[in-house]
Amino acid sequence: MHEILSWLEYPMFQRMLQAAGSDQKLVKIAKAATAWAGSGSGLVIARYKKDEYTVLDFIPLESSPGGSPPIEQVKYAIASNAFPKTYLRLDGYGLFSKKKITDRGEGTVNCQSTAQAWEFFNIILDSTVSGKVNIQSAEFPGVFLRMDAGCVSEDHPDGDLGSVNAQWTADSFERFELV
Amino acid sequence: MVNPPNIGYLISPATSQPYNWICHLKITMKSRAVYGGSGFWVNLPGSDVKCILTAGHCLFDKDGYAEVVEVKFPGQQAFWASGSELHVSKKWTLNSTELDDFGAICIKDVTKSQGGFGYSTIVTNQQLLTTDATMFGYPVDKPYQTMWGSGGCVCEVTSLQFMYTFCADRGQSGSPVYIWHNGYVSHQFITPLYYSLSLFSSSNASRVNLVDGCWSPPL
Repeated sequence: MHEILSWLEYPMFQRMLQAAGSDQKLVKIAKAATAWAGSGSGLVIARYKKDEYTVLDFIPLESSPGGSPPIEQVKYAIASNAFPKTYLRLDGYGLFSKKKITDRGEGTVNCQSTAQAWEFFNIILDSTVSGKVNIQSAEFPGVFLRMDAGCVSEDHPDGDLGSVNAQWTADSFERFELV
Repeated sequence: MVNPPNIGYLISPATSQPYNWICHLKITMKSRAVYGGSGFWVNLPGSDVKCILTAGHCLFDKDGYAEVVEVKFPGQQAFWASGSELHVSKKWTLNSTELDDFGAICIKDVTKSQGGFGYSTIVTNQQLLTTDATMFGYPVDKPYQTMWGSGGCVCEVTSLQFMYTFCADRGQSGSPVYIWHNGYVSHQFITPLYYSLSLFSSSNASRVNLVDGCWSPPL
């Protein structure tokens, strides 16, 4: 399906995930997934200024006949454009169980070599800021991709492990632009 | 709907959904050999390009891409596709193994499309093994451009293929094998013409997965 969709102009699309209101503070898949592992593999971090590893493929996993469902109902796999067989993975089990906001976010965001439930996401239009989106785990509704963009700068372009993780509910750190 | 192998239904007229999404292909290869095949619209919401999925070998042989493909949907005038409108898997062009036998006709003229099969890459193996599947296409041993099909069980599933207990005939390459999924007619497979001469007259089909060889549905 990935290859078929790549023959088309849409619905698979390539974008970067930029922290809302920031200047090129982006989600970066810095290391590829290796063989399938229960805890995932690879590395996902925050990045200041785009590079080849900040480009992501958004792959819709389902369509229905004749209709055009709202984007929020479509499940996407988010794949690295640079690394083959490398999908964004979000382990939001703990957050989903507790259903509580934590100061610095929680959970694990890394990669997996195949796309299954923990690698499925919904793109939710942000309810408070027009034109922005939240990336929600399809497996753990209410758990969102979170990026601490404050940790990267011109002098420190690549963020540390944990600069991208997850949060219960969406606020400023969970607000992104598709650029 | 479960039928004994090789006994199919004639659909006439085939102008209602989902049958009017299934087309007859008259394929002219570079060698001037002419073959029959099948294909089907797949619905891609928001796309500027409309897509007919079919088998790779319907579009590409040892001489390269087909010269021209006549596409005929039920109740509509035929149109022709060629050149950059034809696509097959890169792996099919290199190895021509049945696992990579898928192709597409991508057309920008949206007036030629009226919806199409939905798709899902999320259907699990277990769902497949407990659901009857249906296939319709245009076998060459039946009157020209008449649609026939049958249905039955999916008897075995792998990450890249599945085997079903009903048969495909020549000309039905590229037909959709589809199931009802979440209340929708949902295509997940195409049917290249490969026979497994087992006692059950099973046929094999390539799954259209998220990524070639990468998608591994939960068992």
